[in-house]
Order: sequence, then structure tokens, then C-alpha cells
Amino acid sequence: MKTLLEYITFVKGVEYLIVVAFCFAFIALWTLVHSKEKAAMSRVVSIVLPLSLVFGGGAIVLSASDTPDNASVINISDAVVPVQTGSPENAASYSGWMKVNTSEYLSIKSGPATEFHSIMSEKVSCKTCHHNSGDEIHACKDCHDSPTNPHNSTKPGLKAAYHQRCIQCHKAEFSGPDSCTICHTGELKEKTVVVAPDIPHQLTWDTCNRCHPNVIPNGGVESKIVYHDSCIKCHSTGVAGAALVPEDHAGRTANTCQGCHKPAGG
Amino acid sequence: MNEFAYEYNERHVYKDDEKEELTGAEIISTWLKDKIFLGMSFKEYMKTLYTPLNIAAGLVVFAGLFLVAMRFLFGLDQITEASNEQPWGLFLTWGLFAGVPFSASGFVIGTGVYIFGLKRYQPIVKNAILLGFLGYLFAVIFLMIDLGRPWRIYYPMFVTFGTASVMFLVAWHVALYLSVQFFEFSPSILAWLKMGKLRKIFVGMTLGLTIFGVMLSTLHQSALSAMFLLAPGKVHPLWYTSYLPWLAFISAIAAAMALMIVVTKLTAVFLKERASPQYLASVNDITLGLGRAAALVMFTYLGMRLVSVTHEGAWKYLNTPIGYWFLVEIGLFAILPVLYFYGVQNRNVKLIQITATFSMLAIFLNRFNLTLITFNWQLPDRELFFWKEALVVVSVVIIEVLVYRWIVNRMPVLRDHPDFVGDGH
Amino acid sequence: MINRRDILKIGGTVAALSVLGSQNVLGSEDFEGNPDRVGMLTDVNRCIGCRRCEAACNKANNLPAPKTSFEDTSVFEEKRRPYVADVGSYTAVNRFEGKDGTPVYRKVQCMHCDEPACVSACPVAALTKSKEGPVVWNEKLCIGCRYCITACPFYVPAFEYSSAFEPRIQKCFMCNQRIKDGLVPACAEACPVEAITFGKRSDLIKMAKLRTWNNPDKYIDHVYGENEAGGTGWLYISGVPFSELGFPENIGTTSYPKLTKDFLSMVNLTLVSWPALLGGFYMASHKKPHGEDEEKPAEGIKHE
Repeated sequence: MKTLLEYITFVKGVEYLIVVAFCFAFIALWTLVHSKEKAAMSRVVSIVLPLSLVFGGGAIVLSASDTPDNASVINISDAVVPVQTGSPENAASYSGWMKVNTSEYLSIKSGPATEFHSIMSEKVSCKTCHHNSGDEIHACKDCHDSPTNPHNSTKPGLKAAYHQRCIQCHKAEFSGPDSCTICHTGELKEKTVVVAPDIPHQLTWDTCNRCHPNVIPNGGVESKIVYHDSCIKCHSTGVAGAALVPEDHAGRTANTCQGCHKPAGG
Repeated sequence: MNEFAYEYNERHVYKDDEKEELTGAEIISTWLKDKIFLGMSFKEYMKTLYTPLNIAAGLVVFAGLFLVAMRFLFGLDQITEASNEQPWGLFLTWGLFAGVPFSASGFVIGTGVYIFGLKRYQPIVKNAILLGFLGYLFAVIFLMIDLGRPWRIYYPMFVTFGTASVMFLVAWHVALYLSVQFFEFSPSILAWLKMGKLRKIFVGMTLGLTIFGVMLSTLHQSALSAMFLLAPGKVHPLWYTSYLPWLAFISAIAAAMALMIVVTKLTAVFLKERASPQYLASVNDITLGLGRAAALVMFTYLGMRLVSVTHEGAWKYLNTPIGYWFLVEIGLFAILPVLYFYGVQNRNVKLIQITATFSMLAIFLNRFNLTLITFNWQLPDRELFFWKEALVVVSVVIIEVLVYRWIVNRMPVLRDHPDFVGDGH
Repeated sequence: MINRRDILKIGGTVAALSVLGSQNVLGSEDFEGNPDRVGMLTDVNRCIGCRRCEAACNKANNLPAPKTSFEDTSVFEEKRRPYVADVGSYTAVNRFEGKDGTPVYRKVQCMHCDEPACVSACPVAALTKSKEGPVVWNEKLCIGCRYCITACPFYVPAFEYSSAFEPRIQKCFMCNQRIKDGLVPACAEACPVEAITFGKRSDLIKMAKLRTWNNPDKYIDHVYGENEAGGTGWLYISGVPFSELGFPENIGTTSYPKLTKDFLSMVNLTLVSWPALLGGFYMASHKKPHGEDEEKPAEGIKHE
């Protein structure tokens, strides 16, 4: 018996049976003790005593049949890890999703948000979204399962990965039931409100340094393109409060340079 | 002397001494005339029913039954404003939670007379059992009106058992106890039907039935309040206590005594043609005796209430609107034992009867508070009850009174049947 | 012939057996519940109030369309309960005020308690806690007594008062049929930001704790539902205090069935002791020797 409720239910059932058996036994006893007429006495006792034994026996059998922990345990670990194929995009091949027609599914799924990719690549560096990528930019679905794998809960599923990444900067847009259409087949605004993400851009010097060590200030042209142009995208336009790159040496101190240009080995 | 006194004054003898054969129709019509129409012809009987009070009652009953029909055709929201916060309304509060404590009269007086051997209360025992039986019967009727699927009312008995539930206990006990009360009352019915042999069997069972009845009653009287143990956040702390079952049981005993005092007086006034002279003569003595017992029980109840509130640490809620309402209730409970005692000391029967009326009021108030008025006290707006509910309750109560009157008019409840005098049943 | 002493001996033994048989000595044991049971975790910080979960619940359970569409923001003006008014699903998302006036959203639905009050209340066992975890309702058994509504501390079950012939109790049942088919409940599948996660309850608690501990400035260090009402299957983590999210404040950590357990334990004891007590009173008050009292020769057949 795994839960208190199961225990109570079972025990009360057995108790009620015992009580009924007891009542019958009591009647038998009382009749034996009290009555004078042998005929009436034996008539009553012969009815009531077997009834008592029946209920009592039932109670005993029931109690004995309770084998704790061997009672049918449904193996639900399989159910917990859903074996699902295909992403929501392939809903046609995947009839299990909500057991509804594809067209109905699409009607609540808000349609693909395809335009954003071309727009965003002009505004932020690739690695702002494609985080944890080394030299090669990986597609999101290369690491994020669709749907979620419940066993690896530190990594969101594909759909959540997309959205959580967008939320990092576009938090104000993600509020309320009518906000989905802003990106999903809605009017894509020219300027959306961009809020500086909580962990200011995923791209730091250290991230670059992992693959492009000891580069600044002596880096080759390739490295320069990779990191410098990425930084400049926000730090020349001041998007979301990004610190502006100084035009010239005016107002610079040693710290200003070392904010980006770390000495070798540092 | 009126036309209803026929049965008591005359010994009605069936045509034993006549050897002629009666036709079937004659037998039936004689039986009907005798048993149902109180010895009058159908026309005469109908005329006697045509009183202003009866007509008024009939109208209310008709309106009530119409509403009940609406409920069964179109759903509960026709006559209640029950919601998902307040699922139970006036039907259950009046019929079940308040009505059943008063129906304890059957087991209280029955135990007193048959187990403790207090012969003093013999005259009222049949009345007590009848009142108890009708109380439970109509509790079940209210339940049938309120239940979502009343045609499944027998499910907890025979089909599926939720043994962890207090309501399961209530369902079983009410069903069993209803049968017990019916069998306990059957000697009166069988006397009316002149079935002496069968009656003797049931008379012999009285002791067993009474013991069984007390067993069942103790538990379901307490279970009805124990149901609310499961809702600690919803019942106000001044009413919620783990002693709820005990309080319910003691107050049921007090309720039974109060009811018997009041009803005995009412029957002595309104149904005195149906009562034997011994009954009428014993009213005062019985009232005094019940008053003394009620004083003690009420006092005990008050003490238990105070202890339980202290145990729950709820006194801090006293200085709130609901706390003042609690004071009103407790205040009522506090003066009642005093008044009872005063009445008993000075042999003031009238005072005891008035106090008993107030006791009934107090216990109604208590059950209403627990199950309806302070239930969900933390929710902002609550609909307590709806006028349609109240109308249905009133009409069902009227039906209950009419049924009671019908039975007392015909069966030996307030008197002994002339054929079966003196056997105490 | 049997004498009084024998009666007491036999009666006492039977009474004692019935008490022992109830195994109440184990009453203080803690019950762990099925270790594999599933649960759901709602992360209030992640929820963006898009109401896709409501839409998915509506579709997956074939519920009638709501009066206002799932894209309507005006529904947030009042706090809704699931399945009442025009909420077309077993769940509802409500909007609250968070830090600095930013809106926070919280999804309301059945909490799928480990020791549910509703299951212990139901006299016909129509509501049961399934082995997989969800609390489910069986239409074939329900008698419509609504004790479950009285008992539920979260005010979850909804009753169809407008139906005369088929009034149903409506509440979230964690898509238990989908779970049995190896799918994820509809709301978890639909949520775009994974504010709702599905998995084994024990795993979810660990995940919830990791998330709250790794981000102490964003989350309150409490997993709601870990111990509330004795533990619930639906868990919540949040950056906003739970009392401001519409959770009932008076739910302790005792499981609700424990509240009536003591009364029920007393019941059978009483049923067994009353006959002897009352029989004794009767014998004491009737001074005549056995078998000679008045006109009652035998007790006859008792009806049970």
C-alpha cells in the first residue's frame, strides 16, 4: 500500500466487515444467554452464527490478501519518456499529437516565424542566438530535442529553446495571449522593444578566446571578422544600452582598451 | 367532541358475528372508510379537509412541487444558486445537517424507555419514534432533491464503496437506521392494520432494534459534523474543531429532548382528540423530567464548546464580525441550561417549553452556522441561499407535517390501540 | 451453561481482535506514494500568459468552444476559475502583479495531490488517485453529492449544475489517457516557453530545486506543492511570493485524509463496544432474572 488513502480505504473496509461479523456473533451470544425456549434459540443461532462466520472469514481473507509492494505496479517509466518522432512541423506524419487533424493543429499553432532570421542576422551576431556553438554555427535542433526529453530537463526542448532565446532580449513583447501574432504571421513591427537581456549578451571575450586564443591585438584577418564585426553590431548603434565604441582615442583610459583588448595570457 | 373521536370512543368490531359473505367491493370500501377516511364517507371526509389552513398549505406545496419538477427536468441551477465554491445549500443544511439531529428523538427516548427502563416516558416513546422516522425519511427526500444523480442513491450501499469517506458511513447508517426506525414504529402500524401476530414479532425485536439504533445513531450523528473536518480552511476557526463529532452527538441528544418537549406540548394542544387521557395527564411530568435532563445535556454541550474553542486557539477571532455572531450563538447556549434549571426547580412547565423552543432555535443556528453561514467565510461574495430553495424547503416541511398529522389521526401514536393496551408498544 | 464471566471473556476477545485487526499501530508511518508517479511543474517566471495551454486543453478534451477566444487579453481583468463562466478548458491562466508592476501569470488547475481530499471524500470512489499519478474521475460511479467540492482546499472540482440527467464533475485529469498512450499532457506540449514541464514528480522536484538554487535572485527558495497538503502532483516555482498568486493561504502540510482518519478509527471501536455497554445497562435496569422479562420470550430475528 503506497499511499495513506489506499491504506485507510482498505483498512476501513476490513473493519466494517469485522463489525458486521461481530454484530451477528453478539446476537448469537445474547440469544444463547438470554432465551429460555430451546427451539427459538437454536433457530436464531443457526441463522446468525453462519452469517457471522461468513463476514468474519471475508475480513480475514481480505486482510491476508493484501501483499504490500507486490501489488500490481504499473511500469510507467516508459510512459514518462514519450517515444515521439518528428517535430511539430511534421505534424502530418505524427498523428499522435493531440489526436486532431493537422489543419486544426496548425490553427492553434501560430504558423512559422521565418522572417525573423534574415532580419535578426543584421542586428545581432550569430552567436547571440546560436549559443554554445564553437567555430561552427549549429542549428538549434542539433542539440535541442523536439519535443522535450523529460529526462534531460536542464536543456529545454526545441520549441522552448527558440522562444526562451528570443525572450532574452524581447521580454516586453512576450506578454499576454495576443503577443504571439507579433512574430507568428502577424505584422512584424519595424522596431520592436528590445530590452537588455539579464545576462548581457552571451558573447564575451572569454567565449571567443576559447577558440581564438591570444588574438587581440595581433589577430589575423579571419579572427578579426569573427569577433570584431559581431561586437560592433550592437556597440556602434547603442542598441539596448550597449556601451558605444569610442570614435577615437578621446576619453579613453587603459581600462577602456582592456575591456576588450585583453593582454595575451590575461 | 367532534367527528374524529369516533375511533377512540367506540370499539370498532369487524363483522365477526355476522356470517354473511361480503363482496370484494364491500370489503375494500369498508376498509377504506375505516382506515383512510376516518369512518366517514368519501364526501364527508373531503369536506372536513376543506379548511383555510389546508388550502394555504396546499398552495405552498403545489408551488414547491412545481419547482422540484423543474429541478428534475432542467437541472439544479433552476432552484439553487450553488456554485463550485458553495456546493451545498439550504436543502442539505436544513434537511440533513439540521434535520437529523432533531430526528434523534427516536433513539434518545427509545433508549431511555427500553434500555434504561424509564417507564415515566412511556407515553411519548411512540411519538418520538415516529418523529425520528419522519425526520430521517425527509432527510433522504431532501438528499434526493439535492443529489446530482439521485437515481444512483443506492450506489454506496451496493455498487461501489469509498470506505475512506465519512459520507459513505453516513449513507449506510442513514439507510440502516431508517429501516430500524420503521421496524420500531411498525407495532403502531400493525395495530392500525389489526395484524396482531405480526405485531408481536416486531414487539419482540424492540430491544435489539433499539440497541442497534443507538449504535448507528451515535456514529452518524457525529459523522454528519465530522464531514466538515475535511474542510479546515473553509469552516471558521470558531466552529472548526477536532471535537466536532462529539459536539454533534451531544447536541443531537439535547435537540431530541427539546423537540420532544415542544412537540408533546403541540400535540396536547392540536391533536388532543387523538391522545389518550393518560398521555395528556403525563405531559407536565414528562416535560419536567425532560427539562431536567436537557439542562444537564445543554450544560455539558456548552462546556465542550468552550473547551474545543480553547483547544483550537480560536479566541483571537472573537473581535471580528463573525466573532460577534459566534457570541450570539454561544450566549444563547449559555442561558438555556440556566432557564431549564430554573424551570425545573420551580416546576414551571411553561418556562421549560419556551426554553425548549429556544433550544431548537439555538441548535438550528449552530448547524446553519457550521454548514452554511460561516462556510467559506474567507471568500468575498457568497450567495447563501435562494428564495426558490427556501420555498421548496417550506413546502417539503409542510408535507412532512401533513404526513405526521395523517399518521397520528389514524394510528395509535399518542394513545394505545384498544386491542393492544398495556404492552408498552 | 454459559455464565456472565464467559460472556465478558468472549466479548472482550472479539472486541480486542477487531481493534488489533485495524493495524492502527502503523498510523504514524509515513506513506511514500508510488515512487514512479508523474507530476507537472509550472515555472511562474517563464510563463508569458499566452494561453496556449488553455487552447490545447480545450482541444485535447473536446470541450466546447469558449465565449471569448483564447487570444483575448480582456479575460485577465478578473480572476477566473477553471471550467466556470466561459472558460472553455480545465485550466485557466490568471494575471497578477509582480515586481515593479510587471505582469506575472499563473496557471490554475487541479493540483493532483498525493493524498487527495476529494478522493477521501468520495463515498463511491468515483474519484481515485491513479497509480500513474493523476487524480481521475469515473463518470459511471458518481452520484453527484459534491462532497469533493466541499473537501478540495484548492476549490478545483466544477459541477455541471445546469444538467439534469448527466451532471459531471469537471476538472483537469492530467490527460491521463495521453499519458497512458505515451504522450505528454496537452498543456505541457503546447507551452512555447516550457513554463510547464512534465515528468516524474521526484525528478521534477530536483529540477525545480536546481533551478531555484541556481538563480536565487530570480526565484523564491520554495517549491510549492512539495509538502503542501501532504504533497501535490503539480508543483510551482516562482519569483513572486505564492500568497500573491492566488494560492489559498491556509493550506498546511498535513494531508487531508488524515483529518478524518481519527474519527473513522473511532467508528468501528464504538460499533463494537456499544452492544455490550447497552446490553449491560439493560441487564442492570431490568431486575428480573434472564428469560423471564415481561412478554418477550426471545429476541427474535434481528435485522441488519
